[in-house]
Amino acid sequence: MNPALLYGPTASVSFLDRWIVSGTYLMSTKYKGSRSDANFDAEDAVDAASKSYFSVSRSGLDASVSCRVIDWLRVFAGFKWQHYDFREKLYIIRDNNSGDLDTNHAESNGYGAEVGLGFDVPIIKNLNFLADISALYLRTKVDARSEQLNVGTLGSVNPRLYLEKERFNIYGGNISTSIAYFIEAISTTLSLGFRYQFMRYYVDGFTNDLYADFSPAMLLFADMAYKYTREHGYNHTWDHYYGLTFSAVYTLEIAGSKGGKS
Amino acid sequence: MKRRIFFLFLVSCFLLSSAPAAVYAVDISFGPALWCSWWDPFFKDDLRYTYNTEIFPSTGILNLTFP
Repeated sequence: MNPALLYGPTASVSFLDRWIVSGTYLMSTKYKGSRSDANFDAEDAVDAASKSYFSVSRSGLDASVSCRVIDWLRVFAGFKWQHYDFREKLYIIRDNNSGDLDTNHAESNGYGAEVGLGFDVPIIKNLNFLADISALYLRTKVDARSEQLNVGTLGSVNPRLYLEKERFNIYGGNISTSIAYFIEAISTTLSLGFRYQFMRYYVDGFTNDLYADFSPAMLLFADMAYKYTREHGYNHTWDHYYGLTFSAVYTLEIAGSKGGKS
Repeated sequence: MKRRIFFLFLVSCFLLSSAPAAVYAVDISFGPALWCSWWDPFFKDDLRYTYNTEIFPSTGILNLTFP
């Protein structure tokens, strides 16, 4: 999948010498990707070639309260919201002259918490090395909709609609490091770093509905088969995000505040 | 939804920034943040599970893929 740029505002308020309330809202340009597979594993399967093109838009909010325990160590806890919107066109062509065109859409919302430690190490005056490490939990719900057109071997067109609600418990972590330089003249901190976030998905339950021109027994079986394969397919899967970060943060000091960053 | 959360976030920042100022020194920081991000998504191997192989090996009735 191609990389995307997440961008948005970040803000923080520090007070009582050791407390910081901060929040960052990021939204992304589109991640775009494709996937394909031409082989089936089972010996009696119909050979097929498939190709899909998809794009995903992400956005999220991280809000936290942190407390400086000692000069170089912070502890923090926060709220996390993560959203994505997935759109896909999937084409399948089979050797028996049948095929499919699917239009898929899924919307995911995850809410949860994050706790961690932050390390601030001064290198020289106004230049610091920062590192955060945290554990996170998200409760995520996904609403998925697949509109499918199946073309049979005799040219018949069979529309199908598949709706699914997915529930996940997600556990993961976040590691970020950066070099921050405070420019006193303009009271601005520039930071450049690297961030890696990983999450593991645990299926909590799927519900689904398939609307198709099948017999009632076939419909029931298809519903169960979909549910079984998708629940098992997604359980214990991993998400990995990684990339370069940059921020430019202006600091406004209100009366009584200490000057400079340390 | 996004706009509502962003608005609440801004209001929270404003309230938090103004309230403690009377009590003690306060620094308020704000600015843009960027993350050039690669995503290795959990649904990348989706086709493994949604091909009709596992469901109807010889009929090709079912196919589906999305997260």
